Amino acid sequence: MVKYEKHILNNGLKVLAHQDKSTPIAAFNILYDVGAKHEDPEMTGMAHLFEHLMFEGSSNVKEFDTELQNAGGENNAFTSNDITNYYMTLPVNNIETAFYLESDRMFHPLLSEEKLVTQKNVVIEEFKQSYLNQPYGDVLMLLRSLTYKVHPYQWPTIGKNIEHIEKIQMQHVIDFYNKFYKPDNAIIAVAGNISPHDVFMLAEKWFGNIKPSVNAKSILAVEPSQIEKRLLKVERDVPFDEVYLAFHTVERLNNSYYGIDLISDILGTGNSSRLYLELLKEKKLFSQVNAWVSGCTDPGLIVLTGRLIKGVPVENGEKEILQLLNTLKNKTLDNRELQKVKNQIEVSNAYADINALSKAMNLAYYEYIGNADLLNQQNEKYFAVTPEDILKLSQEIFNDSNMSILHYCSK
Amino acid sequence: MTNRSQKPLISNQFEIIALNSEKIKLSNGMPVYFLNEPDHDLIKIEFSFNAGTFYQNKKLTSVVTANLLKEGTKRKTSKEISEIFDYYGVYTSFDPQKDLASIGVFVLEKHLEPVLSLLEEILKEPSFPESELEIYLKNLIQQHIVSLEKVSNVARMQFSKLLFGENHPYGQTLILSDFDNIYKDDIEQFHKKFYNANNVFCIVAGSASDRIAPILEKHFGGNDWLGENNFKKEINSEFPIADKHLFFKDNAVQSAVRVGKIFPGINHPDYHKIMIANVILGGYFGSRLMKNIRQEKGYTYGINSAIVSLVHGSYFFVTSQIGVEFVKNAIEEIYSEISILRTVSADEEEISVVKNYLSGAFLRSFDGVFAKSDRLKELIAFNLDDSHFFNYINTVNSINAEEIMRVADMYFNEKEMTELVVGKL
Repeated sequence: MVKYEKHILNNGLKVLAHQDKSTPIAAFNILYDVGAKHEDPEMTGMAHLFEHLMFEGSSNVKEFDTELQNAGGENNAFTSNDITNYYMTLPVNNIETAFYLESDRMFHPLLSEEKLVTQKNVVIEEFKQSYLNQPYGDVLMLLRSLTYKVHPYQWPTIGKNIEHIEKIQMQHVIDFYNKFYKPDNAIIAVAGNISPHDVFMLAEKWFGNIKPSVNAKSILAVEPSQIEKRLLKVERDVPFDEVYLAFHTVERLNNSYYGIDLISDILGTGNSSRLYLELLKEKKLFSQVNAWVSGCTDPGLIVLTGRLIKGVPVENGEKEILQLLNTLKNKTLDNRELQKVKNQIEVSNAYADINALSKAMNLAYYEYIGNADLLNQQNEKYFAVTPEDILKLSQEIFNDSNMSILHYCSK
Repeated sequence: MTNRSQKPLISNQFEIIALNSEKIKLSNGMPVYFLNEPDHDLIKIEFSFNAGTFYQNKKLTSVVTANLLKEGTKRKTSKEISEIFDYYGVYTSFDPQKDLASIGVFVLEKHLEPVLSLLEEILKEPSFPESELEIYLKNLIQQHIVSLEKVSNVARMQFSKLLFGENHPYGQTLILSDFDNIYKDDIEQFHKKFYNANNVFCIVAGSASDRIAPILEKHFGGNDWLGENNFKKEINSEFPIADKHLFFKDNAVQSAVRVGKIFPGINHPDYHKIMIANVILGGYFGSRLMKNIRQEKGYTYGINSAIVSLVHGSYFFVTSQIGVEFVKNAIEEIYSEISILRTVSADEEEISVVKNYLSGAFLRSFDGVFAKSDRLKELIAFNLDDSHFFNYINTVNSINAEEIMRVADMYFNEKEMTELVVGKL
């Protein structure tokens, strides 16, 4: 249970505070409601590049990292398709430095031509490191563009290609900042040994005078229902074949999300999961298997995948995974198996409650998707799922017309 | 109206934390350390055996032994074991490193008894079924082949060989035929020799010791798994002479670069100072390497340097993945930064930032009971006590530019560095 208090500033900035007396370290998290999905389809990679530029100084802070390190702090950030999230930890005595640094770069980041050029290079190297220079690096890119034809989830946060990153100019960066980096588009969460009252005072002091945005929120295209099976086969310079099966599911706030997440656990979490036990251990078709839900805010995916043992045809792998899905559609699972995946969820939620940083990140995230109270309701939402729910959801989701298949084969 | 140019005051005087662990011995002499944090339901219990790769006579033995513990016992199949662990939601970790092989569980207190009972069974009575060994090796070799496709992995594997030499236990590199040369007998013997109550320590992190001690005594305190613990290993290996190496990879768009050398170990009187010099060079985001090669030149997504301390030998290395067209320039810059570290006195401002950063980082490394258990494991592995941490923080507070330059000049000589590029040069 993460107890917290919430306060909304006049400019719309939401602030959540959780007091944790057990640690001398405080965590400060600021989430901006902007991600790759808000980008111009012809200039993707912008949100993530902008995240890099946020570390390049602001009007009163010449070097962001140096100031933070000087306060004993450490920080990082990530950009997803939905959000951009910045976080730092520092000794609680120096917590005001977090407010000072984050407010200054929200208020007035220094965006120079020279820094833009360097960070474009850094991001291009990141593109190469993560997507081009490693085996299977482009799988998720392929899967996105196969599954989403209309919704902007069709491209990855790094950008569709290197050319998109290259053509971003200073004016685009400024426009992007003006549109999204505003207090009413952000959520702060602080966890540490500091009272909520003090957190709110500091928030008023440092963020209170920043003006809210004037732009209306953009409305995103809705992905239409898929009507027929899609299949993509690619050949790459990799040693072993892989197969991916992806199905469209629901948005994060839909109550069915919990059942679908449990289905992915039944299939792929732990050495007693069905993919692992039946296809890797018993039938010896795969050297590794996995199942996951994409967990994004807008309607997401459930993905089942395996890397085949050398010599096993990729079609066989596909067929066997489909058979496991058929079993889920036709046979109600027993209570013990369902209880197992619920117990796993309980442990992972307990694990997330251990340190200040994960509590601050989670508070901001759940407030973003709807309400921070959801963080404390996760266990009960999962516990409420019944074997009948799993059966019904499997029947709804695991259909040919809702399926995209990727055969990623060795040349 | 807030004056934004008026930045908040900062303090770098923090209370130094002691681990406050409590040590007991079970009836058979096995040491157990408790780190109590009353408010958590989740408990981490970790057994660390002196059974890492250092102790094996044949490659892969240590890794396969640790990972096959859960694949069958005299009374349970692999499937039964995984179903029990999974049912209780347990996170298990089977982590054979160079020195220690650590077997750990994260478990809710309410499930402690059945989980520890199963852990006892897999640690004491694994049966290492042939069929499971076969599946495991088949999957492992595929994993290994894929990892060879990544330049960073190849660099990591080859670099220890270049530093320590192939005959040193830390210098072993896998080749594909090693996977055909490991047998059930090897595993059984390794287990019999190294997995015993006298060759292990246990750390329990997260809950009250008085409730857990009796359960541990019941499962692990008996005389049914006694053994030896004094393993002497002759190392007759001279370290290879520093040289420049290239592993060509035709389709690389980035090359993995490593530059480094053998370094003094954790017990050396200059150790803490060397660590601090390394941080300035490449040990944090604001480091000189990061500023120069990523932030100013944009040659890479990231560059770091680190000192790896092992029980029987330590080393320093710089590591990065660099766009192939920038590799030559980047390597020059690495040497140039090392040379500056040795020959030019750091300014006061940089030293003060590093000191403040390290004080905060020190505090952060004790954040939460699981982080503390990692720090404690480090102390036990190297036979150190809390004073190691106090000496470190005193060194951070008292070190000056002169001392940093002195140790840099003594240990970071760029002419003694081994250099490796995997990809293209």
